[in-house]
Amino acid sequence: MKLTVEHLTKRIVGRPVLQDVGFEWRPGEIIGLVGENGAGKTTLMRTLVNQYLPDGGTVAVDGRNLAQAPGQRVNLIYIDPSQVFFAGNTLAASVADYALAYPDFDRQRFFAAAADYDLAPGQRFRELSKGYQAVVVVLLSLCSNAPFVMLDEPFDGLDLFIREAIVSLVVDAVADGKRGLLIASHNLQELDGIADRILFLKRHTISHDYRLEDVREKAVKLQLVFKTPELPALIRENGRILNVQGRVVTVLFADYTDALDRQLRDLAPVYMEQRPLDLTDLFRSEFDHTEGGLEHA
Amino acid sequence: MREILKLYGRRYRWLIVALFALLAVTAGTMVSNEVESYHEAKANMVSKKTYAKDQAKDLAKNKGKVYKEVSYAQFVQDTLNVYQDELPKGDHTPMMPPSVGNLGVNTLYLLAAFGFGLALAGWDHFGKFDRFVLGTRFDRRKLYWGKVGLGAAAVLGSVIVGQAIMMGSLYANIPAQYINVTGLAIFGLLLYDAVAALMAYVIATVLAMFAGRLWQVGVVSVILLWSQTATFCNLQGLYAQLVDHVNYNSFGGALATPGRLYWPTLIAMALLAVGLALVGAWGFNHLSLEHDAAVLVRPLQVLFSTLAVLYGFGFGISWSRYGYFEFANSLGTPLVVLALCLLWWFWPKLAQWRRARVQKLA
Repeated sequence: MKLTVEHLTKRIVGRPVLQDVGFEWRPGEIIGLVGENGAGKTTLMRTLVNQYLPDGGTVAVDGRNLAQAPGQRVNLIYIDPSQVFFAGNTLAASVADYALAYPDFDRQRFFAAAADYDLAPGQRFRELSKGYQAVVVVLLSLCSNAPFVMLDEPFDGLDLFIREAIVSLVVDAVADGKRGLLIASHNLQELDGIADRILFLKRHTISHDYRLEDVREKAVKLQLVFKTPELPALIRENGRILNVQGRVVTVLFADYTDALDRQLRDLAPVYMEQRPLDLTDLFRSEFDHTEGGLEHA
Repeated sequence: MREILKLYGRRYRWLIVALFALLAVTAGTMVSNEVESYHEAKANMVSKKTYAKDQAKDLAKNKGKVYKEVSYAQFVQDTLNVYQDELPKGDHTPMMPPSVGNLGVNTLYLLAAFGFGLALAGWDHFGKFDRFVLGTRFDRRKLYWGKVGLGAAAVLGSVIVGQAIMMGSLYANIPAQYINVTGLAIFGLLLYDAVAALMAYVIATVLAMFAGRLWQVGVVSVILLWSQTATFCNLQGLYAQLVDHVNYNSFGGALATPGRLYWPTLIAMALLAVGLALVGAWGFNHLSLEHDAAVLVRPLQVLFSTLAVLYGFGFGISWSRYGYFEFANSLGTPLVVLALCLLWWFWPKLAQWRRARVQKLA
């Protein structure tokens, strides 16, 4: 099964929010959707599930355009945590509604999992704390058994234990390879630990689609100090400056080859050390308009 | 469609029960008042002897003049008849009893149907349930017709139940000879009440489904309820003048007493209900929820504006002293409504232009 998004475009109040967005998504993958505030992450999710009608482009499951075959939307689920209809409902009533919309909804699994968090079927959603509300949203999404699950900021404002609980649910969900998750989040640390791919949403489109395993194989983050205050041109040509503190510069090289390594060593830096690379570094390299906090003239 | 009906049926079940209960209780209350009036009239009925004495006195008083003698039996019949003839001669129709009030066209049905439509559609819209269903596998058109159809069936059913309770209770408590209504009139009344209630329901449903803000729903509802009698009267009067050449001063029709305009009013209400329902279906199919909370919800702005101008025209129809339609004087209200609609249309565009200008200057 494959979900394909092609040339997806969406304008809101005359302004482009999504332009020519395209990607493929298969079950078994956890994709992190990363972008600055207002980049269009939530808009993308709402457009994928037809709450927003796209101005162009297609969303298809196994080649079937969802606009012509709405029944295929049973394969997607997106619960917008800021726009839930079931705030006043009991968990049991909410499950009943979702079970009608998603015929494969696993009620037993939901209530069993909810019981693990001491959540009773008769409890009302709005009576729960923010953390447990987030858990319920994730449980409803996962128990729908839709192969493509979208979560919008599932870690937002949650304590460590609830975050770990959600991470555990998410990882278990994709373990059998039947489900894929698209997680929009600013919590890059959590995403780093679980995502297989990262989609960067920048300037209304997917600017980069990184497979983190590939990135970690090819990219390197170095801390460098040079004799001269001026940075060699080689650094700017091949890398992205993440941080400058005095003479110490932290640079991300997306494609660190042996040849590049030799060239750098030929520059005889005073200090050169490889640092662990994480998603924050990728985010900074993608979105930071300055070079490590300094405006580049 | 079955799952859609299950989904909406679960959600609306208590609203539907409340609607049925309200109309049943209303019908029951009306009938019990009527039965009480019947028994009171019967208890206070003058005896045959007293009636004969009074009639002899009247005869003597009106000696030489034209005086129609009414037998005691006829007097009793006229007094105890449930449906009193309260309409001018020209306003009778075989399709309805010649009565005003709750035993005639029941405006409470319209009010209840209107409120039901507002509650149903408003709850889904402002409660975010529409967001949920639009993101599911269900086809939008089926969702719309499932929801609106279920509500319409409930409205129709509750009107039928209300009327059945009313007529059944009347026949159960008052001798049939005093229930002076034909089968055709009962049917005509039921048909009229049902169509009027469905029209009210559809108007309310479409309003609550597409209005961006709750206050809009409130304001428009109040305006509609306040002005609907005058608007209907004006439009009926205009029709009567154009088709039957009857001037407004001699026209006695109204929404509750359409008289000779029974069929044109019924057809107009049915067409309005069907037309609006179709418009709503198109709108729901093209609804993109980024406009959901906007003051003006696309894509029906132009249509709503047109309807508002037409309604304004209906409300503002002006009649001369002699009861004739004055076109020029009737334009005031629709022009004001048109101006408001244009402002409504251009306001977001003005805001966009202002924003762009500020950005440019910055």
